[in-house]
Amino acid sequence: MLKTEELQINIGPQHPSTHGVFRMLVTVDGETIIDLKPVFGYLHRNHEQIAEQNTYLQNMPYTDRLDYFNSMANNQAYAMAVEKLVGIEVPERAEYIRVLMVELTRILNHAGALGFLINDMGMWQTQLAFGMREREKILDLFESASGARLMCNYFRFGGVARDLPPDFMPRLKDLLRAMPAFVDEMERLLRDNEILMQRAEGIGILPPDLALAYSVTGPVLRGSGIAYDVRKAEPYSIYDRFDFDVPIGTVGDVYDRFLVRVEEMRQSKRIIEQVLEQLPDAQGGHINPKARQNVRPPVGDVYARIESPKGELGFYLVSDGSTKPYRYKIRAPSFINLTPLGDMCRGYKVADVVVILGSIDIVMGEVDR
Amino acid sequence: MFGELVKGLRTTLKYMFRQPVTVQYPEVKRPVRERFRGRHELKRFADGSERCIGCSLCAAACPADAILVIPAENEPDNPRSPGERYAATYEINMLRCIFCGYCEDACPTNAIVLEHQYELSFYDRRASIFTKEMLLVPEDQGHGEPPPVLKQIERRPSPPAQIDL
Amino acid sequence: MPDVTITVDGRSFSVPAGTNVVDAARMGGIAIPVFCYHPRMPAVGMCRMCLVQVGMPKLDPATRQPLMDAQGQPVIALMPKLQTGCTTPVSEGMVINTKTEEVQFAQKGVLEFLLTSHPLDCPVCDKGGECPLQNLTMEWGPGQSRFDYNDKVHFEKPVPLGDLILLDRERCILCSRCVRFQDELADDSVLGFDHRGRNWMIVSKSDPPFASKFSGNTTDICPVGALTTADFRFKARVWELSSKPGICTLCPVGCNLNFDMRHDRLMRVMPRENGAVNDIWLCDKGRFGHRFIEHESRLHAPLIRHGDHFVEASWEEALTLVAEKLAAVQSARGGSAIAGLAAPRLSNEDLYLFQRLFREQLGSNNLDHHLGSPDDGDHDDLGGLLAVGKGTNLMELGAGTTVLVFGADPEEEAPLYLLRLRALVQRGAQLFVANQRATKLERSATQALRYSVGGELALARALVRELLERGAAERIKLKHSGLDALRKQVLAQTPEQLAAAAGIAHEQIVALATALLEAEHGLIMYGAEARSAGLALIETLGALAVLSGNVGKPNSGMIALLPGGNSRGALDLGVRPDARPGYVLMPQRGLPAQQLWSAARDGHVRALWIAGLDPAACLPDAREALTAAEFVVVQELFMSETARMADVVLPAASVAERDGTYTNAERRVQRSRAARAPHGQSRPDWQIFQDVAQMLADMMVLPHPRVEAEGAKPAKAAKGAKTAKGQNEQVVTRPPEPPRWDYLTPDEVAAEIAERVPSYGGVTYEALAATGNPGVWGRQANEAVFYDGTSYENTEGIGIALPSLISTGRFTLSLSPRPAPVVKDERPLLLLAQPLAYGGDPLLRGSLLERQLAQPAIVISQSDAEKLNIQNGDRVRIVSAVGELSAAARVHADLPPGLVMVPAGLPGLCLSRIQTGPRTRVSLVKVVV
Repeated sequence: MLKTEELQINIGPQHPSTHGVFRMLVTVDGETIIDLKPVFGYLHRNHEQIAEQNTYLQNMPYTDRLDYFNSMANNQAYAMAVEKLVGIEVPERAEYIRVLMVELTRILNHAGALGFLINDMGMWQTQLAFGMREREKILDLFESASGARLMCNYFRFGGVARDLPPDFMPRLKDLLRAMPAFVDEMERLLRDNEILMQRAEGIGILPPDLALAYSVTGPVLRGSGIAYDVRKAEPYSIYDRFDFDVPIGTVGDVYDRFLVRVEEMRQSKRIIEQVLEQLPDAQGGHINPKARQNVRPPVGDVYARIESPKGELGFYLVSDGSTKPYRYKIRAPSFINLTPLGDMCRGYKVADVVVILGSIDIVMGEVDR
Repeated sequence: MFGELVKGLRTTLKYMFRQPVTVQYPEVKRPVRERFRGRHELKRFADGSERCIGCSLCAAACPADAILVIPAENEPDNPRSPGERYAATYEINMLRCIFCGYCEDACPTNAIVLEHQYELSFYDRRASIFTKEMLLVPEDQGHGEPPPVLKQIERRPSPPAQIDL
Repeated sequence: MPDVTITVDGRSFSVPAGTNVVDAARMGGIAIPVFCYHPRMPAVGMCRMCLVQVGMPKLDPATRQPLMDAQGQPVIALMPKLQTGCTTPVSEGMVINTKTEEVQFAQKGVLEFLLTSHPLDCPVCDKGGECPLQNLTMEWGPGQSRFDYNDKVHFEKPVPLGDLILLDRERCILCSRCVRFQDELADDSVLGFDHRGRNWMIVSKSDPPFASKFSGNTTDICPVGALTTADFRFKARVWELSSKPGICTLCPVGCNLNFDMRHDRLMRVMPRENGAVNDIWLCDKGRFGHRFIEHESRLHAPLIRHGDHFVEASWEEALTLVAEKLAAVQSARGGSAIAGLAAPRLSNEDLYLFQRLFREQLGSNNLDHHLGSPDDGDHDDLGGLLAVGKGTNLMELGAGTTVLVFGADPEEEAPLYLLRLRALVQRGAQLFVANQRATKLERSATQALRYSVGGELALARALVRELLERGAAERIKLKHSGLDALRKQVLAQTPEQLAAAAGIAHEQIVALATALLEAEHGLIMYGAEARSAGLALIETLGALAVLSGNVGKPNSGMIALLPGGNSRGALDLGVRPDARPGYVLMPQRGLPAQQLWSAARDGHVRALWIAGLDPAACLPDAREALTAAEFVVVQELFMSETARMADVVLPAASVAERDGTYTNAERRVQRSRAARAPHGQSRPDWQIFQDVAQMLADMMVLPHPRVEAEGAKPAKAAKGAKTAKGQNEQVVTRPPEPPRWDYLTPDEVAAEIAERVPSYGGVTYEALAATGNPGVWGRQANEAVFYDGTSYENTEGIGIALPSLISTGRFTLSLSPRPAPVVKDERPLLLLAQPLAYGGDPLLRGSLLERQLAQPAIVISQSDAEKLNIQNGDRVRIVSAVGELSAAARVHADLPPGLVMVPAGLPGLCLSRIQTGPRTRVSLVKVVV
């Protein structure tokens, strides 16, 4: 047996495959990973402290900037927390609009995430460009509804900022018509793709018990075979009205996570179709007219959570009765899903680290806050 | 193998005669949607007076503390805006602004509007401060929506109450 | 008062009987909305906002016992209509409902009505953001109005009620808070209502309009934006302001205030609640008179004289020059050739370090905080020796208290005391006002004693005699001496003789003596007019306080109204030629300010350091002395007359630009915080003193050996006093080594004062911050209803009241009398330099008050005017033994004959040119053009 020596290397914080400023302190023995420590904090922006200096409403655009792929989902989680704290009712129509936006967000998130994953595997740009093209169409819809593509700031306490513009529905329907072709094509191209199989199958296995121990959520948890989805486990908003399935993996490797995401896009489309059916009959306007935006919640605390595309996104707020939150804490899925990275990588090769990281799907804006 | 190749080339051929998706920015500018939130403009009333009354509510609503308003009293003979007050200084720091649109929501006279201009880069940090002169629209154009209060004024006054004698 | 149990919204609790329903509910933490009611003013029930449902237990007509229902609960008979909570006193078993549908309907109705004639111009209204009408509408009001917007009444706006206050008639809801404040609290009935119906409006009845020194308070208590100040109009929105707690140094009251800053610019000054000092009020001088802080003429860099002009210099250059020059004078001629004057508006830290610099580093005792003008008078030690005791709180006083205001005009000398004393009277205290002329406070007095011109000493002696005759001497518990001499002196004259000399009926004197003797708490306040009569009067007043038993305990004692915001601090901390900090008397005295000018002119004093005073403006002697002096340092905010004659001018930081503590007339030490960065390169005064001292220490200038030796001896206290002299019995051991000059922050100086000055023990910044107890000071859960837009909550500490020196046991009170001062001058009239709030104070520059500054005038009585054939507006010349002045005459009907009153401190009318001492005899001549 050849005597080898352990070597510590840094991957990041500046690295093309780290999805932001993220550093991994890797101990390798040759090409094999002995240990990996995720180190973050390079993108810390004092988000939670700033939020405690802002009024409740002023934090809404700040939540856009957490996971900037999913501003609509972040908005929803925060709006739900404040609504729960103050006791604001959301009209039915507003709830449908919210679900519609968040499910579109899920599609665009997965389209982008899979693109980046394939990109990380070395299939340079092609799939990413495909994903981005689909994402672009959704962002255009967002722009027409909210006025901004990424930093939508579309939700308000008690509803959404403005009703859907008149041309929104026809364009959404067009989009949905084209959607299956895109998802199918992607699956056809990739599912049995040699490169993908080689790089994904059996790589980065996260056993279910370990996933639970790390409180991992979202597609990563479901990839490990646990059918947990906040939309089903604790239906919020109006998710109990929709019929959809929760896809799960069997092995818990990168490949399973890939498949779960592909299927989730289909399920989201299913939900959107149901929304389109029910929306015209929905009661109420786009916002509760009695809801005050400059809220002054009673003393108390609240935790509200949603199934964001990346996992369980929760906002914990403590109110001291003033117009500003006394404490504002985020349970960020990217952050918690990142913690088992060391265990997922141990025993694999250095080249796999990038793929495993890509399969977790993180956004550093949310990890560091 | 050969079939695959032909299939691939057919796709290439198909897209060769289509309009390219790429927008040739900056020669061609992508049109934005009507609700797009871009650079701010300070509107005027149709008579040319400033809508902004210097109330600083936009500055209060701003989550990023990007707006500075220093108000002053109108000269009664030569008012700049309706009422007693106007903004002597109105500055927006475009580096701080996050284009959330709350200033627009807060404005009681619909004076500040986020318009469609999105090319906002500059070479100098000092150039990021947009002054009132830069933000204010020319006198003969850009009259925005009338403010909600004034909409009510345009209604015909209600008849005086009837008194039974 | 006995407690009664009431039930508000189902919660039962006890409140004092006689409380009105609004206050009672508030004690239980339940807010009843109000507009017209204000806790500091009697209720009128005008606005109908406080309508509540009130019920009383039903009584059995036969037994007069409450009827019980089946469950054993009293049967409640609700009154048929809603009642106004502010005018309904609570009674036993009363049930009050504030949240029933009927009450809510009424509240919504009242608000909807109020808003029909309200312009809803909140975005441009200065009150917006701290407006009770906004708050109440959000909390209790209807969401919608049925009133057509186009039917609103519109008036021209704004209407100036005076120079300072603007009225917006559209916004006014006619709650009459301002009218009642002026009538009842400020005693300036200058506001009133005019017209009827929709044109009903507030008007100013006086000429000049809104002539009141408290007008700014009406804008605070205005529950809408109807009254706004011209000072703050459209300057900023209230939520943009950051409030920095400060202390007003413009008069000896020491009001707590907040500097409201936006981006380092002073936007407005607001009162900060402190029940022991200013309650929730602030006079106009404090509110509007702080514009000097950012006046354009502030000095911004050190200046060094080159020939006949100044050149800007660096601090290093300027301070080195100062240190070198002082060191040179010191080594050539000794410390006695150097003298220093410091303004009584500087902070305790400044004053303490100033005297340390002079005594320890320069070996000089030539220190003073007076201007050196002829009417300076003696240093007032008695106001410290017999000061009100520790724990004094004017808020607690009412029935059982007797206040004697002797020879003072609080409205001008310390305006806020007028409000406080009036409030005392309204709470049942007895107020006696003794003066030779009519003052505004007299109108509030239980009894006014108008003594004849020059009869004050006779009055004081008559009072002392009366007390002695009643055996008051036996009850003195303090260490004292000289009682027999006092007895002998006052008993030499009969009561009738004394009463005749005072010009006051004997019965009135007896009544006042009885009131003082029987009072649970007794306060004696004296001001400039009493001080001008000399120490003989003040010491007799001290004897009066002692004999009536009103010393050495809380809420009793003497309050001296001295000029400047911190004269008491200057006296306490030894900025005087004769005593070290803590009234430790020194046998070897330096020159007082009055002797300084001649000494400098004659070359005995070669170097002068003048901090914050402007003697050259009005004193010809001082000008000569400054010209003659070898080296003059002036430390100032502005380029004053004195600064123009200086060799080095050092820019000082103003009160809002530095931390510091100030001691008020009641000997309460309060902390003021920095609100903004110092103007230009200016530095806090204490820092300048320390820098120079450090340089001198480095130059190895040793203190003068003789001065050094004196300090080691136990010294006598209380300056030169024969009647009320204190004797220091404790041996003051001087620490072996003086502390080094390495203070980083003023709180280190304060800590040293606390350690080394006995009566300031424990007054550290930590302790000052810890004494704040916001809960006690009137704030409650529902403060927005009462206090939004009014004074700020006090979170900075309410200050530490020092114990009176006599109660420390280190001083013995000497009661031996001193003969009355004799003025050998046959001129017929007595000159009275009238201290004015809006006199020639240079700190008022840049403020709106500049328009209200007093005009030079010679005020004479009706009979004197007739005698001399002088009409209003005639030009008259006033002639004394040393000089003459001329100005327009004003005939004052209320002035007693024999008195000539001239505003003090006006730059255009230099009284010091004709003054021969604290009291000057003059004659008048009409100038015929």
